[in-house]
Amino acid sequence: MQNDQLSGLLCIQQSVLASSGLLQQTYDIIVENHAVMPQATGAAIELIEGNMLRYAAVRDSRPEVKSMQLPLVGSLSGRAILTGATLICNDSETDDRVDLEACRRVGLRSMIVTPIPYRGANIGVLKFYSSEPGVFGDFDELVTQLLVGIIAAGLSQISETEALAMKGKLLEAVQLKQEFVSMVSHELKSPIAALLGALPLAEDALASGETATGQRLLAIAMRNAERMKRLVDDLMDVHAMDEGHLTLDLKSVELSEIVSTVLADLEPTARSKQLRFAVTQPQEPIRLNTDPNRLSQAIVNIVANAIRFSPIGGIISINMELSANQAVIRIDDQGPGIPEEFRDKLFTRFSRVAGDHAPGTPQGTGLGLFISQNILHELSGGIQLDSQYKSGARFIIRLPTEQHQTGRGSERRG
Amino acid sequence: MKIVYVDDDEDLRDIVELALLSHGGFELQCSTDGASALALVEQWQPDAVLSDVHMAGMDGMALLAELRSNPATARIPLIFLTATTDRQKRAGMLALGARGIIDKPFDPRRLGEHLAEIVSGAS
Repeated sequence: MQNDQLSGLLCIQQSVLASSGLLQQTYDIIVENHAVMPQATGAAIELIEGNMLRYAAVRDSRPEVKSMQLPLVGSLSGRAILTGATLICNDSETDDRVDLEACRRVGLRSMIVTPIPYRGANIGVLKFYSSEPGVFGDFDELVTQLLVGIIAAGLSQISETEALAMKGKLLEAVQLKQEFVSMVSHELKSPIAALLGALPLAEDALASGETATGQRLLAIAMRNAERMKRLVDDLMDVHAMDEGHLTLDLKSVELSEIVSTVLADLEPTARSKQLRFAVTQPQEPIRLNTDPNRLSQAIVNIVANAIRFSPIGGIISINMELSANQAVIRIDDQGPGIPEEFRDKLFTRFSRVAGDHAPGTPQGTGLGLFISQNILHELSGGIQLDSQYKSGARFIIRLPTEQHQTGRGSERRG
Repeated sequence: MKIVYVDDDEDLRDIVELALLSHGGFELQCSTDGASALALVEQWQPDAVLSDVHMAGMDGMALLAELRSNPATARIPLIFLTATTDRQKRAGMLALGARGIIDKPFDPRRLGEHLAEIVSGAS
């Protein structure tokens, strides 16, 4: 076995030398090599992040392991980092240095952890583990220390190779930011122009006793101030989404109640274009475990678009149904539909389709569909445009029902 | 002075209309996009066209090119009313034959005067 392990070690060394020198590649090469520690059922490189240890690389086919985080205090890895020594646990069931609950959760009985030094401190560990007790010995300790030597050598080059890659990413991020700022400024300039245009004229009109004209101009000012507020609200949501800070408050709710509230809110706008909502829903209520405010926000954006693009006197159909254990909401309008060439960028920021300045309806911010898509994604659902539908635009929203709730939103933030 | 104003923003159309009418000396007709403006300009023969740049469908630049290529409208001056601060774009507008550029936001009390100056070539 020792010869095999040394061949594994050699193989790792050669692969690392042949790689582009990025640290992540070194990590992956080490954990993916089976020969270097054949008795291990898994391998991981855990790095300190705050007061937790996060996997920088892991060889384990189980998804629950890949997303795991370990506390720094109370784990064998944490102890290895603090003491700077390679530690072997022969049986997690009897070893009080390990986080027994975590070991049981992933079926781990024995492990060997070696701290990774960088600039006078230990920044993480290399860990091999097994579902069997007592499989790691003194020779394995030597092997892990040699492996950590390769990682340490990689870390010392961090300033060169990684810095170059980071610089590229940074430049790209700066450019995206600049484009975003330029788009936001442009979006803000229209309502500002309307405000600065309407207010002096309103002042003149009111001073000369033309009350009706003055009021009309004040209404324009009001409308555009509201448009600016909507844009800023949307921008703050987009920012929260970018940062991954969109907060969700999950509750058990009935879908039709959310839809009714949304439609009641939009009713005055719809009435101004003599539009009618046609709602269909199954007799059995559809229950969701969701964030009612965020879901309303997502649906409002779609229905507001439908209103904006509908011809006067048209019908907007909202159909709710259960299909394959999912709640499906279909929103159809009788507008011109989404032009083919525009569909690719439909859900991107500041995308606007022709005709988004329809009289009588509040202007969009160009962020609505982007926000809706992100919210629905966070709620473990999704939205798509039905490209087969030809009589207008049809959006289809899908969400897991309460009984079939899995995935992101509920688990992470429930 | 007969002016065709092209903008897809309803509120701005209202404001420009009120600003020019309260200034006096202007007759105004509005369009919401380049394509409908073309027809209006050809038929009504205004003294000048005042146009937004960013519009869905035919935008301001395309409108300018169309007006220039049609002998019936080639001599009608076009002035852009735009929020664009990009120097290259502004230079491009003038190079393509725009008579002038008025910035958005604009002072509605001065718009009429400003527009008249540009049309008459005094500015």
